[in-house]
Amino acid sequence: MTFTYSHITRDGVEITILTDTNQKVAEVHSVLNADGTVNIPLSNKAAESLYYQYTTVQDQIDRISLIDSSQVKDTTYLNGSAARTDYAVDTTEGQVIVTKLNTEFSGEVPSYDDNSMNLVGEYTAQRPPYNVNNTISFYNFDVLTDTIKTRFGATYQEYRKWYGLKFDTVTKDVLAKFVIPDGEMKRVDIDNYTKINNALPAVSYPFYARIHDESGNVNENVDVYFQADPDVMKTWCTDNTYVFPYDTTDTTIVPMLFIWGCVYNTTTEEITHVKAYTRTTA
Amino acid sequence: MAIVTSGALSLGTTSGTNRSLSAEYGGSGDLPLSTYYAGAGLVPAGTVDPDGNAVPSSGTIKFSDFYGTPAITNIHGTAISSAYVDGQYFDQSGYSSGYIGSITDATIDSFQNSSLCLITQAQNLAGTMSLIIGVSSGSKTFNNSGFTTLNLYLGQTTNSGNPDVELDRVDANFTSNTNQGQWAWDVATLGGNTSPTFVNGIFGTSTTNNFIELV
Repeated sequence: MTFTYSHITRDGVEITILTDTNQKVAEVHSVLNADGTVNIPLSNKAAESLYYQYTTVQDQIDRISLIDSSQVKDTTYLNGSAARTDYAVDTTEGQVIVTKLNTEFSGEVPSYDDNSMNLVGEYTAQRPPYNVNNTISFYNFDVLTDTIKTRFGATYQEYRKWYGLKFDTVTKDVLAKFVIPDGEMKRVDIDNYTKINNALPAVSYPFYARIHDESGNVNENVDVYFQADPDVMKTWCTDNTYVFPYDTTDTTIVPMLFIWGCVYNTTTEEITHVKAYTRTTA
Repeated sequence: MAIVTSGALSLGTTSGTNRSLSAEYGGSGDLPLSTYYAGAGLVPAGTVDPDGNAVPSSGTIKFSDFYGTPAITNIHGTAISSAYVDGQYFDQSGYSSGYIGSITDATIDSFQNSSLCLITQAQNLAGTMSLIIGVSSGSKTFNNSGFTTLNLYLGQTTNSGNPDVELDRVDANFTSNTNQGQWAWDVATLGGNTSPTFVNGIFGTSTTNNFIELV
C-alpha cells in the first residue's frame, strides 16, 4: 500500500493526514518537536498506526474476542516456525501441564487452574533468558498478589491483569514476568521505552513485560507486545534483517494471528527476536 | 441564530426573529405551543439550551424552555446497553455491532448528507474510545465533520442533566475507511477521571445502560 501524507493546521491544531491509493484517510494530531514544529516521521507513523487500527489490526482484536478464552491454544512463532504452544488450563493438554506443576512446583500459587483463562506451556530452550533448560510457563489471570510482587521485587504502579511465572524444570528456579501498560514502561524506563518505540514500525495497543528473578533483578531482555499489520511487519523485518517469525507461504497463519511481540535487549540496544502469536481452539 | 436567553418570546416574529419560535423552528399560523415539543416535527429531538436543559417532548411546555436554543443541536441520541469484556489482553466496554452490547436507535436521520448512516460502534477498547459510523446500504465516503461533540451519559437511558463525558471531535483522531468513519479518543488523556477502571471501562465494568448523543 502506498501512502501520501500532508501536514496541516486546522483550528490551531497541527494535523497529519495519511491518504492511501483508495482515498482512505487517517487523520491524527501531529507529534510535535520541543520547538513546536511537526515531527514528520513520528507523525506519519502515528497516522499509519491509526490507519491499520481499523483494518488488519481489528482482525487481530476480533480473533481474541471470538475464541472462548477457556479453550485456547496459543502458538508462538519464532525464527520462522512454531516454537511453543500454550494451552488454557482447562483443556486436555493444559491439564497435563497443570499436573506437572502441581507435582514439581506445588505451593508456588494457591492454584494453577482456578481461573479458566490461565495458560500453561512447556517449551525447550529458545531464547534468553530461557535458553538453558526446559521451562514450564504459567500465565496467571488471578489478581497479582503482594506476595508475588514482594518475592520478585516488583514495585510497578500499574500492572496488566496477568503475569507469568517461568519454572526451570532442572534448577527449579522461578522467574516472574510482570506485564505492564505502555505508560508504566514509559514511567519506569523512558530511555529504553523511547528506543523501543523508535525501533518499532507502526503498531497498535503496545504493552510490555519485564522479567524479574527472585532477587528482584530485572532481566536485560524486555518484551514488547502489540497488534500490527502483517505486511508492515514483514517489510520491517526485511529492512532490519530480523528473522520473520513464521513461514509466509503458510496462508493459514495470518487469519489466526492475534498479537505480535519483540524481545529487546537493553544492553545491546537491539531487537533480538520477533514473535507472532496465533490463537485457535484447543 | 439562537433564541435570546431572556425576555419576551412569541410564536410569531412580532418581538423580533431572535424571539420567535416560528422563525427559529418553522411553523406558521395559530399553532399550539405543544407543536414545539422536541421531536414533534419542528423542534429536533434532544434540543437543549446552552446549560443542557432539554426542550420538553411532552407534558408542560413554556416559552422559557426555549431560551438559548438551539445553541446546541442534537444530531442523534440513543440509549445503548454497554457490555463489559474482561479480556485476557484487552478490556472492552460499550457497544460494537455484532460483538458486544446493543443499541436502541442506531440510525441517524441525517448525517453528512445521508439518511443511511448508522452507529456501529461506541466502544472503549484498551483505552481508546471509538465512535464508528457506517451505512446501512450503498457506499459512502466519510469525512471528519458532522458533529461537534460526542456526549456520554453514563448510567442513564436519556440525555437529562449534563453529560458525564464530553468528547470533542477536534480532539479525536479520524479515519475514513470503506463505508465507515471512525473517530477515536485516547481515554487516558481525556482529563478528569483517570482511574484504571474508567480508562479500561469507560461505560463501567459490568453491563450498564447509557445514553450517547452527537451534538
